[in-house]
Amino acid sequence: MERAAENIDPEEMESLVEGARSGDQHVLSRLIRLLYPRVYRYVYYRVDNRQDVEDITNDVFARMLDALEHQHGSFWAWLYSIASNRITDFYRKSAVRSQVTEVGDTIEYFRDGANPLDSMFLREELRKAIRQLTEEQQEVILLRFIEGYQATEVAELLSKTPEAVRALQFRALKQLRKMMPVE
Amino acid sequence: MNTELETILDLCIDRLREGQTPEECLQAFPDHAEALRPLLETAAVLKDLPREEPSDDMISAALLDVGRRSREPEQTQTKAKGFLPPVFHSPYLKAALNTLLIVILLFWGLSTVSADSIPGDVFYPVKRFTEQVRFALTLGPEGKAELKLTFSEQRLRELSAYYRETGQVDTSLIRTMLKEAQLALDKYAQSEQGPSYLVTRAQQVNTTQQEYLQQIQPHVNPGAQQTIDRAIRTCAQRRERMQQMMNGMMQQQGPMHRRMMNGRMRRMMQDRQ
Repeated sequence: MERAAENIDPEEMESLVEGARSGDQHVLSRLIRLLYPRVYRYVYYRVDNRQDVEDITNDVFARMLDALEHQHGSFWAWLYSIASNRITDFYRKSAVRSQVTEVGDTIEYFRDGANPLDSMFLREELRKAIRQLTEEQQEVILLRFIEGYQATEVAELLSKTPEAVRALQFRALKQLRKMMPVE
Repeated sequence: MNTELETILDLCIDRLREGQTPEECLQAFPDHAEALRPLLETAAVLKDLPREEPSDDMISAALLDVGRRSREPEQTQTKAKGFLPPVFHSPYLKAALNTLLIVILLFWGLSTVSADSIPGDVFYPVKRFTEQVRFALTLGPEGKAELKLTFSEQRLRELSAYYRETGQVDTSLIRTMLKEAQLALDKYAQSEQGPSYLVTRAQQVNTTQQEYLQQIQPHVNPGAQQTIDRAIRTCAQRRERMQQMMNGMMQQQGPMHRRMMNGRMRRMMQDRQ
């Protein structure tokens, strides 16, 4: 089993990217295997249909391969920007954003830690709620909560100030709270 | 005021991630507890959300797909012609063109319908037949070598789909997959000055196949084990051979060569579209 991407130290990551850039197919394959889950999750929470999620994720890596030679600066910021652009393209072409279903009507959360909802159901409902946030809010929520970055790291990845990220986070949580009220 | 709340909320989220409950976090900021409580409860739900993980099979299939897509040029839009020159007004020529169009559409339709078929499906023989037609219509050893690599990739996709559907390994697909890749290398050897990208692509296909076989090997029945073991050894030998070929090319041509060949590959794919 390959390690999760977040457990690779930056130097090792850099050497993998360098190896992939020089055309070593074995390294390239390993790099994609390591990065795939994180990019997949990023797309998963922003796009409804699973087939579309796979399609967009694969496309992100195809674009990564095409442009790897010219990549510079933070690799993750670069990869997330490709993913973000592909998602924007997808919505622009299919114009499905407005078709997001209503959420929250059937959701109840309980304060005492016990959550009676099946985790799959909860995840699906949250996906719907997250997709109703603005693009920037979605990015902050996914990187902060699903991928577990610090606010300062999210700021670096999205080329924003930490203050702007905290403001987006605040507004996004407020919005999610409205959509998914706690009992 | 909001900036202060935003900062405190961020601090509390960090504490949640360290294992504190929303109430424990709020005890440190009693003045803001009322405003922060609902947001922290939402944050706690988000934090504990189960992580969606793609399966190994999905990633293997993605590796093949990514390799194929990265070679596709961006879609270009062409403007439709408003009218045809007078020579196309002849009724005989129109009928001939219509017939040709129907044949092309029929061929395209069958290719599309059969594209995802696997052994045992009604359309699978159609798929293999269309591959033979494509191979016969492709000119030059380079193009034929590239096509054979595509077929070899296709066999791996079928192998993976068949395994997912039935839990069984179709060993004949493994043999065909390796044979197609070998034929690609044979065709490559026939070209006068074989392009290095073909070797790079063959390496990529070979690596993906080897990795996939290694991945399913522990789970298959003993009857298929032997074939898979042999196939993995073949892939390993080919990998070494191709690496030697690449090293030889790189020494002869230098780093600019690879970039030049990548550009040439793109142009060739665009010409063929």
